[in-house]
Amino acid sequence: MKITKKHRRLIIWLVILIAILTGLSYGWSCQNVHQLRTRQQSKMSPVIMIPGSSATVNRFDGMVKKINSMDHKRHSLLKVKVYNDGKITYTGRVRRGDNEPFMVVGFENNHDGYSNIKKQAKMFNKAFNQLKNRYDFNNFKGIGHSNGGLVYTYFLEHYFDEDQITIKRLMTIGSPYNFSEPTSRRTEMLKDFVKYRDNLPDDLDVYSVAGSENYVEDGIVPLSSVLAGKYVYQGAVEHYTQVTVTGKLAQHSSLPQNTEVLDLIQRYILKNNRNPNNGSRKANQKNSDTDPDNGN
Amino acid sequence: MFNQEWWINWMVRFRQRSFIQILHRTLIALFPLILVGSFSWMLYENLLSTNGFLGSVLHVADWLPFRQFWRALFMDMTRVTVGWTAPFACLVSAVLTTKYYHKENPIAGVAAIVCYTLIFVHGVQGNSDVIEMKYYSAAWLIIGVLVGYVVGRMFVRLGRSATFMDFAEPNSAIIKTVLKNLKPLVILVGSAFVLHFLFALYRQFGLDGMVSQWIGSTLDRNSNYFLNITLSVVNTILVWLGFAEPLSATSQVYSNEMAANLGYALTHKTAWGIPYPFTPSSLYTGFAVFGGVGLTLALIIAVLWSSRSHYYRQVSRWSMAPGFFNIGLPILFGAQVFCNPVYLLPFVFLPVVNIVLGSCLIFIHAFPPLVYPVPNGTPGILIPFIATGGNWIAFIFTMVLLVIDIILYIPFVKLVEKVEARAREDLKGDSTNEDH
Repeated sequence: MKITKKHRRLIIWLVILIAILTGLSYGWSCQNVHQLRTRQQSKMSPVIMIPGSSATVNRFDGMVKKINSMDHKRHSLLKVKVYNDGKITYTGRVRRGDNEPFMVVGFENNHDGYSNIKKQAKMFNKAFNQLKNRYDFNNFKGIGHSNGGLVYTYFLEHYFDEDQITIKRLMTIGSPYNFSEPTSRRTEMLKDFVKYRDNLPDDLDVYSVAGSENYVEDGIVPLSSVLAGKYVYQGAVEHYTQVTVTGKLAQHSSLPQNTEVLDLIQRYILKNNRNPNNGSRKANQKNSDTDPDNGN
Repeated sequence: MFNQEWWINWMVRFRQRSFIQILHRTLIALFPLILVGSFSWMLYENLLSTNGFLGSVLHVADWLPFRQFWRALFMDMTRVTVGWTAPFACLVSAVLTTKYYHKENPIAGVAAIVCYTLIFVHGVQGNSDVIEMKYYSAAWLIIGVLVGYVVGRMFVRLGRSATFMDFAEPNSAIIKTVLKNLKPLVILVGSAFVLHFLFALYRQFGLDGMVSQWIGSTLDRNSNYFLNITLSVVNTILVWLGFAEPLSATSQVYSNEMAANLGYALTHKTAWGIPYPFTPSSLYTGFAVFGGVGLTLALIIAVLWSSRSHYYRQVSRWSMAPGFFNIGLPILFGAQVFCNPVYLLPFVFLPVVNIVLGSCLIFIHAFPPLVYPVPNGTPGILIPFIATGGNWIAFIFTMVLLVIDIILYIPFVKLVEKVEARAREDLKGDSTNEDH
């Protein structure tokens, strides 16, 4: 075949185009493989916590302190605050070599209500994306107190979609899945949660902890509303476990300091070297009885 | 053994069937829309998405303000252009059909678009999103053209031609013609309603979910090389027919194998020895979609290289940019590849040749298997390069493959011109006793 001027021009154009694209992608490709490897080999498995409404990033200070005094692992505590204008600030830092730091994500807008929970879930997503790029973890655990658990649920159903990162376990503490309504009247939020439950990761273990001061509520949230979490999680995730703690410090806001709850966190959420069977037997024995030594 | 004249005559006759003629004219009529839509699609999916190719390599998310906002705007634009290809094709083919039989009737176009939309729209599931967009995308093109053709034929048979353009006549006379068209309209919308009802039943009992689950579970065992080549051939034939739905349904299977591969490669820091080196999805996306299904990039370049028609070359030039990023729609419309018997052979079998050659080279360890994920819309010719983590041998091999594909496409591009020239001659000869 005769190569004409037209053909030569075509070849030159193609070569230039392909060269540019190749050059661009070569750098990206190396960097990408490097990042994937770093993440894959990362040993870090943080516990990312969300406080409830009207609470700040300092909500879990006491809890982390107590856990550190219990397991002597010196978990570090990083506080992340997301402002309404999208700004994100960090307090505290992750100690080098700490594979299980606590990260608390709080919001400037910490108000109650479904519309705010949606906004908070969006803000949480933003913070989560920053955290994953900063710390390159490939798995994490979640704890949400009160509305924080609802934010987590919304986040998992609508934002969380990662190939390389898994959420292993989630504990919601006193999270009112049906706000203060009776079970017979489902709120819009609960209906939405149930509607999109298929989006939840199906290899996740969920623990829902309810407090109970009398037989019906923890002082703020009706027990039935916390138990409504089963309509969201049961059957949609790998395991869904419901625990009710009663007695001293079972009041809604004290739950994160409750020794029973701390014990559950240590046993089910944190990394354990102990034989898990021993742990669960112990849990059965003192299931609804708080530790009398509990100070605070 | 190979009688070229006989084949050319056969192809000419095939192309002169009324349906094929209308289909190809519909494709041409929609080309500008598809081109605009494809550019918008490219911007939204490739440049403005964080997982798009250009978005990734140019780090668009870091420097473009309001990226999400722009992305949403271009997504809307894409949705109303290429996202609604099937109803548009339905409208155009209905109008063309009435014109083809000398009974021009814009009402047929409206009826066609109503029928098509009605069949697939659904409010029965109490779902908030009433319209499932997949039935309206280019994947369902052939169904749209078919519905339009049937509607057009019905109006030709039962309706009265109405052009609305005769301003000498009073409005009452025009209304009389319009009323004559009530009968076909009612019959057609009624039939569409019955189909809508059946489709609603199908969905109500969750059959669509069951079907896709069944396909998924049949395929989602460990892959079988030859089964998958067959699958690729069947899928490509369906795309050639203008029906891409099975392709999107089967594109996600074997993701577990790819995940296992990636996990292995990342942990061992090498792509050698991964558990599923010949997993079909990576071979298919790596070697069989240069510029989209059917290696359309090779077709674009082949047309630019050898076509004698100035207009086809122009169409190819415009299709080049989206084609590089695997959006093959413009050239498929512009060069009327759908249901074009000349292109069937290269369109379906060149990808198979590519897959086989590619896996041979992996087999003899010329370059490692494709394991790393690539961003959305990565140019097909760069996928092996990126998916091997920047292996230059893979890159050179892909370039050689592209050249082979172009060389093999060129005879078919010439054949198309021959067939078209023959058709024109036939038409000239027959123009005296032409009748429909």
